[in-house]
Amino acid sequence: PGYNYIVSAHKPTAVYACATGQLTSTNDLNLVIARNNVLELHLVTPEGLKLLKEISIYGKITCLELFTPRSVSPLGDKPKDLIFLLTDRHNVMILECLCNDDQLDIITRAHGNVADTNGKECESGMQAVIDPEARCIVLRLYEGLVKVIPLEESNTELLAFNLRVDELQVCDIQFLHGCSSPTLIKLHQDGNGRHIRTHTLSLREKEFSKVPWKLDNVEAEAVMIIPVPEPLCGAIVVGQETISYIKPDSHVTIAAGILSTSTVICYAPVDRDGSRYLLGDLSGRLFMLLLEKTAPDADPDIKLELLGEVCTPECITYLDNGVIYVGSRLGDSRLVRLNKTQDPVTKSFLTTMQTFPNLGPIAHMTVVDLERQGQGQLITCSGAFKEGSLRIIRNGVGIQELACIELPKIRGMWGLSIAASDASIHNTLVVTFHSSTRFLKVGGDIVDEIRIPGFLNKKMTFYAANVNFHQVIQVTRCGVRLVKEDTCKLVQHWCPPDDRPVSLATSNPGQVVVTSGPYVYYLTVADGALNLVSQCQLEHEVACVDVSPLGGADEASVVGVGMWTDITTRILALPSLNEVYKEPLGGDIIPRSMLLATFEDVHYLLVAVGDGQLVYYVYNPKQRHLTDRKRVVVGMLPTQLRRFNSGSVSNVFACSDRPTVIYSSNHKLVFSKVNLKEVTHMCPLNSEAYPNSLALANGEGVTIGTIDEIQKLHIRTVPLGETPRYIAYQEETETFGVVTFRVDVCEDPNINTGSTAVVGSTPAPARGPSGAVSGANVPGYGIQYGLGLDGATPASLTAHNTSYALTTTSIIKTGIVPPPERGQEIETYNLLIMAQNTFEVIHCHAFCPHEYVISLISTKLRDDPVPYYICGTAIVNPEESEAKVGRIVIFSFTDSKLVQVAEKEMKGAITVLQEFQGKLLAAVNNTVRLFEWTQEKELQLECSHFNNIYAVAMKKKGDFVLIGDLMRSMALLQYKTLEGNFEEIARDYEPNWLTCIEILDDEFFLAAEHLNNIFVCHKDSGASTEEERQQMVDVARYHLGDFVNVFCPGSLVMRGEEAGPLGVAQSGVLFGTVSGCIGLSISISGDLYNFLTELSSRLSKVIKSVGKINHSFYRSFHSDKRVKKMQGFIDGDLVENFMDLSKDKMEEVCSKLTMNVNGQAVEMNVNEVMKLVEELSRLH
Amino acid sequence: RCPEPRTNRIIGAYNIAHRITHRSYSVPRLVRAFGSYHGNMRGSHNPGGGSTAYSLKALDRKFIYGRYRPSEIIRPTTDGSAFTTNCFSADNKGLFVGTMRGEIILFNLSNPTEEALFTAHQGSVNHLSIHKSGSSLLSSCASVSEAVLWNLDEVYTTSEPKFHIPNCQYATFSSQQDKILATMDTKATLLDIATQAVIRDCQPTLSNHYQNNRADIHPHDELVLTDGVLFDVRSGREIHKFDKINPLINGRFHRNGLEVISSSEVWDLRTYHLLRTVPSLNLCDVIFNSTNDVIFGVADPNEMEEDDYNTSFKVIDAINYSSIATVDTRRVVSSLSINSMDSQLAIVEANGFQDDLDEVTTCRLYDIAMTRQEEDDDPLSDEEDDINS
Repeated sequence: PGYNYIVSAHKPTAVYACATGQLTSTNDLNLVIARNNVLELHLVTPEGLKLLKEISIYGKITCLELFTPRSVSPLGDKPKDLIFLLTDRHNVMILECLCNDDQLDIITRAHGNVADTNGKECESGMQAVIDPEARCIVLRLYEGLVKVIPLEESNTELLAFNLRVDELQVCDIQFLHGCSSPTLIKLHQDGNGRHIRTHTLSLREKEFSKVPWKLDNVEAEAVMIIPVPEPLCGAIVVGQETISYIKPDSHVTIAAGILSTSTVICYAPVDRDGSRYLLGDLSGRLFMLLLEKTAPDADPDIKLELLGEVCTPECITYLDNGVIYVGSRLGDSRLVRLNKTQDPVTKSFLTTMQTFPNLGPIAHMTVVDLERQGQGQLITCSGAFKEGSLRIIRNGVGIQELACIELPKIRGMWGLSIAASDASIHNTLVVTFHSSTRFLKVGGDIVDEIRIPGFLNKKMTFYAANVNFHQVIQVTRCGVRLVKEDTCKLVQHWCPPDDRPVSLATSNPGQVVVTSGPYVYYLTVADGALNLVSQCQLEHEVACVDVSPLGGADEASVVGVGMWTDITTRILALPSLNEVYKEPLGGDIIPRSMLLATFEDVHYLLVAVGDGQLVYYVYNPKQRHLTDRKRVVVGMLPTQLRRFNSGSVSNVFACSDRPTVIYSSNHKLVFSKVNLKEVTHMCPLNSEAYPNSLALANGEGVTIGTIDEIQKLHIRTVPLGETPRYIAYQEETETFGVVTFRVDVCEDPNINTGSTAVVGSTPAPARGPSGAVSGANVPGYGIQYGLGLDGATPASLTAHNTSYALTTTSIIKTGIVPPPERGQEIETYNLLIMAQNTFEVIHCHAFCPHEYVISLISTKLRDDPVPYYICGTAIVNPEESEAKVGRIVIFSFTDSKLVQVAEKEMKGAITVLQEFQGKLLAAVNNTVRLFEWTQEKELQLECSHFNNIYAVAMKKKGDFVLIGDLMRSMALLQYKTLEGNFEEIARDYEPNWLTCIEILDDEFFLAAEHLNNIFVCHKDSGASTEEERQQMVDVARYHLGDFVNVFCPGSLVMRGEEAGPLGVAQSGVLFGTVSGCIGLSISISGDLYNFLTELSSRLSKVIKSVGKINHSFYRSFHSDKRVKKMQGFIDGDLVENFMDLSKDKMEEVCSKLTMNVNGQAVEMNVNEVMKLVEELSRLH
Repeated sequence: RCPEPRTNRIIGAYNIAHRITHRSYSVPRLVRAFGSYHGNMRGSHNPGGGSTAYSLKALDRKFIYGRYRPSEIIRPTTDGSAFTTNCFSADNKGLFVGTMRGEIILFNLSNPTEEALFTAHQGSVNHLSIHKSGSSLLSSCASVSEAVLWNLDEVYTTSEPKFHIPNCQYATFSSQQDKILATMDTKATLLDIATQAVIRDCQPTLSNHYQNNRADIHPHDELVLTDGVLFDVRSGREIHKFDKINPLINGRFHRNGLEVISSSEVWDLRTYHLLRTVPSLNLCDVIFNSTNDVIFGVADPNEMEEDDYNTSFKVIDAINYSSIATVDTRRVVSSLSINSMDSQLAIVEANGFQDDLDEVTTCRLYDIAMTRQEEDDDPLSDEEDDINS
């Protein structure tokens, strides 16, 4: 466990920044999105966004800005825009997108590190602004100064100088437009309020030369400056209640009361002339801000219009033609259309065109196996506030079964459209057996057997398809039968000369290729006839053949064939059937199936070999040759390749003992397992009853089903409309317990005061005039409910049954905390009981005002057979530094009712709960307490342990309890059964601020800390001295670059029958992060670790880091003042990049590469490394 | 009409339970929107009760460094060997304590026992500092004006000094730990440990004549501050003389390298302007924690008026200079040190009469951020008085 392989199974999806510009060419419009450490480059097309490239950055992107460099061209052409990035460790870079022959490269134009060795980091975050004329970049990283990077075309190194800023508390800085020297405008706060000041920057003198103008006492809550481009110039100051347009000599202010219920957090200019801006606020409302010039000399009028509500934005950008991209960190990002007219019902000008799923922030998650397939599903608490949701995540592609037909021993299957009103609708399924063929009518949802007069049913069918001129073909051993759709009569029977038996056949609508041993015949389809165009004889028998047209073409220009005997792949040109290319497959196993397929504009030739391997090449149609050979194992048995469409995208289905869907993502082929045991044959089926379905055959029969949206991880969303905090699964009651909180606004604290509690059914939420739901929620307070996304009702208000803590507790009295003030936001916590299959809310238990539920488990206690949901709570008084009162509340869920069985008052927050040897273990602020569950169903304290600042995590194994502390890292306790108490047996003395922990085994412990590092501590039980045994040592450490909220032992893939790569543990630890990344950390052997360390170090030299950040710098553990070398972890994201390298780069990396196996150095060539890396990538 | 400051939206941030819940969703943009979190810190810490901005980190610092649990008390074993100063060993498992009689005693902290003792000086030990390698200890004695660097591997057997520095009232290691800065009256001398040679003498031509000058060196070892005068180490040039505002102490560089803290005054090193005044640090020596974000202030007991004994030490946020805590002690604090893990604090307490050999001194250890252990296991027992104010 000291050696670990760590990899992201799902890349971060939370959007931190976005921008639009002309990056790939001055004629293109591009959208750039920053997702933690990933940069996503899109092309904006009339059809929508087209992903061009996903770029890994060795650092968390904190600022992303685009700028147009000063023109260097003598013709004065406007140059392309460039990307400026700043990372959390103060790396800066300027990137250029270079397009050459369809290949997109990201060039690092300049880079540097602008960290100061001393200086106080801005605790409010970093900011980067770029002079509109691209003369310099200004960064706000440290208190009391700004950093200036002068921009020179020739510079490859970005160097910054510091300029002192007198104001202590700067809120925002921007560059003004239309100034002869770069001029900053700054919003800052002092004891008297917030003020605006401008500074002219002299790059030559490296100083602020003057303060051209200033404006004291703008709105006290002003949050943002928007610089206004020419011709207007000046700036807009956005506050909490007002908006001002300010210029050197004048300013206009309007009251904007509509802003006051939330806070504007981002903006985007719409027009080049600066007349319109989009504003986005915390509640997800989008506004249009207009500057309208009424008279040439007058100041413009300011207008603010509410456009509608979307997801809570982190950033927005205006694309074109009324389309807006809204990037979100707390929920799914969206592409939104701005309409000219208002929707009469929703009063919104916005329609969502596309959503981009985001798992972040993942606050908690659990692994369950609902379908009992031995494959875990991950259920995450994702998103926050109105964007909160549960996500059910499963590896591979899911097939939703619609119908089953019992038909054993099928040998082939094709869907046909015979005289259907719509040619895209299949109404006939051709199913073939060893010596017969059956035709099934699939109209309606009943499947009847029919006869087609022109087709043979006493023979096995080799192939059947629709062809041009409303005809269908059937190929048997005897030949090709051409049948008219309307009459179902045979119009021509073609058979090979000399009555040679047909061995293989394939077609596209206009072309048919038939083989007989070594003979190949090329036929074209005419109305009522098949014409032999050419034929040829090859040296060996043909083993497989394909004549798929490339891309969207109607006709194929080549035939691909795979050969017996010499095991080659050949390309034959049409119509001549001349061989134009030959490539040995490698190995001595015959190819069985072949397909020419186009994914994301790249053409591939896929060849399935008899042992379950798949070899694939990139096919170049100009030169008609194959390059970039790769291989992958898709099963153990001969594989059939079939094409099908999912949406508008073409995919390939590999039928085998491990059915796999092949698709392309980010210009890379992805092989995703389907959740079926075995598929021998498959055909697409689009019938009226089963639209866009697949027919899948195995030994027993045919399954008709639909395929989920294709992606490696299949994700299903259950929107909640409020923030999920914890989830627990209770197998016995087939339910999930989910702790959520909802942000409500106190409307009138005097409503209902003194009234007795209302218990029972859900208070019917009534829609108020403002579109908000209002009504009595928790007895005692008048509440305006927070609404979910798109005005949806939060899940807690949809429950079939409701109960209130205020009526069930004997501990919490009204008034234990001060009642909320009018307009104050209150977080109302609930325990939701949700059905495991439908996820409907069966019961909602609402906790008291100011009572936070901060822990949840489902468990049985002692010999009591009842499963319980147990919640730990804290009464959060905003005036206290920690909770002084909390409760442990025990519920049972029986007969669709949630009943409170017991409660226990504690003097502190119940931060973690854990079942421990039939007892209940609770972390209460700084203590850990063990409770007995008595016959009377009460909690009785058995013992306590005090040696924490504030326990944030707790895990158990056997007699051991591991405690993670807010700041004091972790401690291992042992329960002494005889004495009935805990003994602290080991501790990590480094000051690590933990977020979560996991026990790997008796001696190794995994932890994540608050500055995005993870590490493994070792307790050496075999050490010679007591002192050494008590001290944990960090043996592995790694900078993940993401904040881990939860560890979950488990796995997303089934690994039962497969041995997997040598030296990798059976199961690992999954983790979920704030930015929506799901990762896996898994123990590996020392030999594998040493090998992968060497491989990574070679890879990090070969793979150019964008921004020239060193990989070892990026992954080194850095926390407060400590920086330690990365150790004990292998960066799987780096290792798996090996598969994307070109052949010669692979050779370069693998040159003289060896791996120690059982003390022997074994040479690892490219193929073996590929196999290993591929196996590693299949772990997630 | 000016709008009323609105009700605080993130009002719960002062409570750790709220912060721990919300850090799972991480809200950096929110922080920027508000400048930072506005913890509505009512009570003594913020008499104005207004909207002073506290970042989340500052609130965490306040939570951690606002609580001290007394863990051990160490008393002199022999009469007359009153404690004067202390410092932790490099592995934090031991505590060196200097005495009035010139002895240095090493206490084992796992079960506070006297582990070793040697006589270092013929007078009271006024300062101890441990080299980060853990192998040598620097002690100084003002009454005989000497400082000695001891090799800890040998000292208990040979009592031979590794490096003897005469004419020195107070000595500390440089930030890189390869040099020693020795103070004699107004002069500071920088000595190289390896060669034992004098690298630089910093003798101010015109100085502040503080009563208790203790020179300090910049975190990058480029500047020396002695008696209110700033020297450039490389050139030996006097750069600046700060105004004399207090009669006693020279002050120290802030470990962020940007400021000088001299009594209650905080000076900006770039402009030499007064940045701010922190009244609670008046006449206090300042000690930083290992992450340099918290300052401990201890007033020099020798200079206190007898009727004005200050029996406490101050804890100040080193980023925003807000007060975190004032920790009351039984007697006057004459020395304070913090271990390198920021988990323990040791103070030497005395009655305040340093000349009196019979005075009662103790060394008291605190666990930082811990709260007092409840004697009774009953969670409902009513005994939990925080020792901080």
